Amino acid sequence: MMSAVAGDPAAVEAAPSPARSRLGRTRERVAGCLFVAPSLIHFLIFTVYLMLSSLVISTWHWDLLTPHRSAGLYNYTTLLFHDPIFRTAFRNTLLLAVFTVGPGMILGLLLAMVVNTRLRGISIFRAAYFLPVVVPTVATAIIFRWIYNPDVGVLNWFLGLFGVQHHDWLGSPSTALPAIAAMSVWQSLGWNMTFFLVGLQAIPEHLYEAAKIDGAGPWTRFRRITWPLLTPMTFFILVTSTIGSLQGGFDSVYLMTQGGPGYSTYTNSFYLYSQAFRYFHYGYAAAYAWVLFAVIALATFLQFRFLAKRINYDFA
Amino acid sequence: MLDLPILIAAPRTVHGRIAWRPDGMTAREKQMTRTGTRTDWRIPFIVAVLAALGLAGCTGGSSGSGAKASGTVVMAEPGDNPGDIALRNQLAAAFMKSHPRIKVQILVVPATNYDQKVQTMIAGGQPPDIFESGDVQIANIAAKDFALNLTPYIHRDHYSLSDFYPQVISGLTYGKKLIGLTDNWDTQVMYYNDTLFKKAGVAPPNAGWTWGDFVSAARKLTAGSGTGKTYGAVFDNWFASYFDQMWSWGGDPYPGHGTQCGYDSHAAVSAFDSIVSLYKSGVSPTPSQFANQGAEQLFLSGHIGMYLGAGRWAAYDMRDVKRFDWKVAPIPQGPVGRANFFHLSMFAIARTSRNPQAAWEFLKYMVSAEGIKQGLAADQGIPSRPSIANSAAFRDNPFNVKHDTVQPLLASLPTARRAPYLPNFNEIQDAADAQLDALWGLTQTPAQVLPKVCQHVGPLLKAGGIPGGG
Repeated sequence: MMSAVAGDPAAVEAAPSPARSRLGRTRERVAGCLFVAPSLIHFLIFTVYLMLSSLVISTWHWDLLTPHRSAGLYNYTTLLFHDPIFRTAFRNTLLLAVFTVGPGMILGLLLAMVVNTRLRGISIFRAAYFLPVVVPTVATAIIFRWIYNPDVGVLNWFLGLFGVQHHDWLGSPSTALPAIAAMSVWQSLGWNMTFFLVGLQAIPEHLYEAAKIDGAGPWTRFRRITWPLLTPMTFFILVTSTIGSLQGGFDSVYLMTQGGPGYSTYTNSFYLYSQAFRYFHYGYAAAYAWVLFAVIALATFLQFRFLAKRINYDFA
Repeated sequence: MLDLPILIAAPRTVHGRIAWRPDGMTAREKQMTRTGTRTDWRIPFIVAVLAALGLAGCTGGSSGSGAKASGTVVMAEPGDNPGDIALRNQLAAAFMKSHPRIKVQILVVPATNYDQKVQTMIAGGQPPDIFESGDVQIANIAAKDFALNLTPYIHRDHYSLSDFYPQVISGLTYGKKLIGLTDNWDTQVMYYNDTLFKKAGVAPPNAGWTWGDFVSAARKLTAGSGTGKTYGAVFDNWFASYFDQMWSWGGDPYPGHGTQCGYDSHAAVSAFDSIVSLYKSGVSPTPSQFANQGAEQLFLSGHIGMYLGAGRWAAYDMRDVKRFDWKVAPIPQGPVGRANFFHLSMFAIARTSRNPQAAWEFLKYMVSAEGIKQGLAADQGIPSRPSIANSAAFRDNPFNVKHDTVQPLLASLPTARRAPYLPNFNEIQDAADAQLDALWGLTQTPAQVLPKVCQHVGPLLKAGGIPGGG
């Protein structure tokens, strides 16, 4: 089988007959199919089949335990037009994306530029900045809940030094979502930093040397060399962060606020989870998941449509 | 007779035509259903023989049917309490000695979302034979009918329920179906720091205390400021606690058997006013102040005089406290008397259990006098059988005597209130709590917030969740 895949140089030189050639190509095709079969079967069963199942379930009223009833498009129309909590959760999710994606990328880039040096021991700093990524969200949430504690939290203590009055960060509807976003930014900083660092280190050094000879200052070098050549990585981080933030927000919301106060920190994933696993509205939750999928697909399409042209892939 | 479905459970189809219902209890369900035209004389014959055997077993009473039960019983045990898991294994081992034909397997299921996991197992066709549930979930189980009705088993075995507290049996009965049994019950009580009371020279709580007595004592106990402040009380603002308050003020969160919203009643507003005034006057830490560590942990710090918001399970949590003496008292009476949420857990058999007879035998053992006695040390509630709850072994236990953890609960039993019958309780309560957050944040008054609760909860009560069921 391996020879069929790798080809047989001797046979090629000998110019095989058309029949043998066809046989060889068939064997190659079969071998190729066999190689991809495990992954393909897994994909068909655990992705395609389940996605199609969820599409069917989204047209049901179903609580798992009693027989399902057909609902047609009822779950979709209820969700989109008659569910105020869905609108709140959707708005909160978008806000969370705005609060986390932009600041997370800017801070990640700044951090990457800071640690992009050849100092001794810099890898320790890089590892330290990456650490929040591998700390479990449960631990991070507990730490931040104490940081935000209205009485003994370090944030209020610090702000108190400047005369700012104590504030209930997670208990106030106006600050609970930004407080969760701040934690998410801190969590994702190391991730963004690592990708930007990879991007920075891929930029050829001679470009900077040439720019310096031409008299370009640090800002010009950043604007004319670093930023344009980082666009592939920036685009990648933007797309993945946007998808992640539109899908996400569950762990932190579940652990920090349970959606409260009121519905001020309800996100799509939290509300979807509640509908499925707390209220047993599986049809409704499936419809919700499909709406969410459509929104994320649209956001990703728009990003590709309008931003892909501005990416510079030419430096290599 | 119950051996019949067990024995015929495996061959659900014969020649792909004859279907059997293995889990049935009624005569109709025990009948085989013919959907084809071919007749096989052997099947009625086998059924007749097996039925005769089953009937013979039935005449022997519980011991007779139990002796015939065999096979494996899987019990789904929530994995949050090592003491409970050890107890369940201990009970299983003891049971298997006396019932060598039955193997009990304790399946530890993560406690987070335990109910959902059990329901998923049932829906997936792999039900545990026995599962635990309780309180507000019981209505959901009854409505969806996924717990086996135990009443026919009780009648068949002439199983006596007379040694159970009547409130336990009525609490686990929906319609005419008994859907579970339990080894213990619990209800809301008040914990107090006896050391603080003695230090402040304040008379300790007693069963006759009113809400006015409670507030007065809380004010006397409150002292200091900042992080070293001693609070007279802490009121844990979860639904069981504020239901108690509403009931004892003459209100009801979900009157009309769970069909109406009662949060906006005058009595409910007064009840919530009484809670909020505790926070505003500074005799209780506010919900945001105890959100991180919880009210119970705050009480354990020794800086809280009284703690409202838990049942007897908290006594189990407090067993290692050495810094101060604590005791239990009934919760204070409101204007119309006392009301305390009845925390009722249960063991239930899945309706689709593959071995209901053997499961029934093990369930009976767990709630038998012998089974309950084995769990007294780890038990977090009051034994479900008065004969044990009133026994010297339980009441005179030094821990119970020192902390008075029995009598206040027994005194509270007549005023215990069952959880509202709301099959979609989670959704309704989430909607209510989302509005109540404004109250706990002290940004709005009960008169402003409670009508909004009914605006959001009312449609859910009528529709049963997402209109049509979602």
